[in-house]
Amino acid sequence: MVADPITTDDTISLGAEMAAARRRRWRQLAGRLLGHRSFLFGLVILAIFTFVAVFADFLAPYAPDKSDYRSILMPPAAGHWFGTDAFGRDIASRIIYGTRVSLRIGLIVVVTTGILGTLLGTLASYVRGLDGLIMRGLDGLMAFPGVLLAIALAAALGPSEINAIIALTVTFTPRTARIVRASVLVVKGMQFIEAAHAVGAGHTRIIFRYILANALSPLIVQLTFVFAVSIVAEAILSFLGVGPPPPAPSLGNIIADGRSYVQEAWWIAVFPGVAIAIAVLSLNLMGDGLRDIIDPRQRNQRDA
Amino acid sequence: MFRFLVGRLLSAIPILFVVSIVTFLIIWIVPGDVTAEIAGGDATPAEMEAIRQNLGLDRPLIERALLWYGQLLQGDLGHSYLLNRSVSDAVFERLPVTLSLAGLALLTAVIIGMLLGILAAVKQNTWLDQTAMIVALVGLSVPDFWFGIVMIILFGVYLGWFPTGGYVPIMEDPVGWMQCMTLPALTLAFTQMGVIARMTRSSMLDVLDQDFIRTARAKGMRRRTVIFKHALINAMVPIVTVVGVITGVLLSGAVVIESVFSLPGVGRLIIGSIQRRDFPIIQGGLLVTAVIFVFVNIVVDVLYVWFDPRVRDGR
Repeated sequence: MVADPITTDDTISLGAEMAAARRRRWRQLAGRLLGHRSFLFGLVILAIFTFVAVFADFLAPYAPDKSDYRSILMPPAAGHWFGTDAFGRDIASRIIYGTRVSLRIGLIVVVTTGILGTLLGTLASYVRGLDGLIMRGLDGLMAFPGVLLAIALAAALGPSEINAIIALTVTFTPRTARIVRASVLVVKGMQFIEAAHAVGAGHTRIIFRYILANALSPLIVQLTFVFAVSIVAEAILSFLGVGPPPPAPSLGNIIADGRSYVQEAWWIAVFPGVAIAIAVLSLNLMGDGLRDIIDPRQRNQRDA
Repeated sequence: MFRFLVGRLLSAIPILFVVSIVTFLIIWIVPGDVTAEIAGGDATPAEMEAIRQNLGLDRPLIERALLWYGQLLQGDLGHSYLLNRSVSDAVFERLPVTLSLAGLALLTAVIIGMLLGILAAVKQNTWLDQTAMIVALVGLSVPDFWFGIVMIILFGVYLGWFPTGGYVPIMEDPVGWMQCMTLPALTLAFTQMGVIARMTRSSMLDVLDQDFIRTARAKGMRRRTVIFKHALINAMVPIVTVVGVITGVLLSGAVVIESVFSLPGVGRLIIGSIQRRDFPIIQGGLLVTAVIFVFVNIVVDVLYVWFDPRVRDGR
């Protein structure tokens, strides 16, 4: 596999050819993803949610915390599509702004979990002395069932958006790091990495350029699911009062408001939950599609 | 089998160690003065001092850690200042509610989920398969605590079939207990059965495709026997894996669902303690739930060996 010493001319044409091949591969991949019915469906819904979140200021009919004591606990009607709450606040507007908070937190958690998971996973698979230590530590964190650790951490740190992000990142990083470690170990043992070592590529170059680039697929699939579960988990934290604090609306704390009015105003609790379910469904559909197409080996393994 | 079990139990030790460290450090990451947080605004300096001593906050971290482990090894989870009783009493008194809720939900999710999955696999690519898979996907996208509220609104408030919350001990009134547990258990089961259904379907499809299934059919065995006796047993290992994962989700789900349905379990104890800043209870509840989950995972590993003895002798 080790190439003969190559001349400069060859390198240039080889580089251009590789770039062209890469572009072709990307176009092919995009084509296959867009041809995947459920992925496309999920993508469209997520795009709508993102649009609503970004342009909340223009789309929301009312300010999210504007109370109106003449229209308290109004059922869904023309002026208020999704009704009003006990302060006369418009539920539709609160959901629109709450979507912004949910998507923002979900996205940040995806980024922080992705970075931290990649870092720990690569370290564990590359530095032999650290492997046992890191993996036992992550196993210990994964021993806390579900979002219980996130709840306890958010409770200790205090209710705020940044603390919710920290708590969720700590909870979702272990499994992500594990997935990165597993796929890095597979790629590391392949022959072309040996070849790269043989032609004298440095460790940094090998890790970033060859190993991580080739171990990316399972990570991307995992992060789609992390996005989905963080939206639900953020809602749970807000519902329990350890998420971003009121009066700023989040999908979880609107549901928490509605919990006290199930007898007289079902609409407060029901609509924000529908929004969460649709957003999470779209991410799950996208994750399923991505896995079918870029990482078929991982099929059947879904959880975060 | 015995050596496998011993090995598996020993490997739980480092995990339990990390679990205990994390639990211990929870109180350390509380910003500012924990004592003031716990005591509230109107505490006298003497009361503050008493709390500080009770929690050992007047000592350096290492000494506190040693103290915590010393107590832990004797089964002492500390003392709740606000409830004025030991944490282990408070937690273990409420544990049966949480465990029975999680257990009922697990049972329902496994039965319905596996039936849906088998049905979908046997009738692959028909409308039955597609409907089952859509139900499964919707189930795992719906936030369970919200679904609980929807169930309360629908079956509690409008139809009036079940109570909207509350609890009756099973010893006093078994029927009332069942009524109180039905909605919460169904809520938890609905959100998790999808995971089991999806896994059962794909695992069954893998097995149904194999030669020995065709042989069994070819020699004239009944379809039902082949599906349940030959295919399902061989499809069990991946299913058992997700059941293990789901048990964790159900345990943590039960914690949240208890707050929705006002059930007096460990979850409601923890959530109530968050509002009261009663950290010893939060730590104790967290620790006990994690330890239970670690042992559930050991049981799952033993089940692997049961269904696939090859696992025991190194994969």
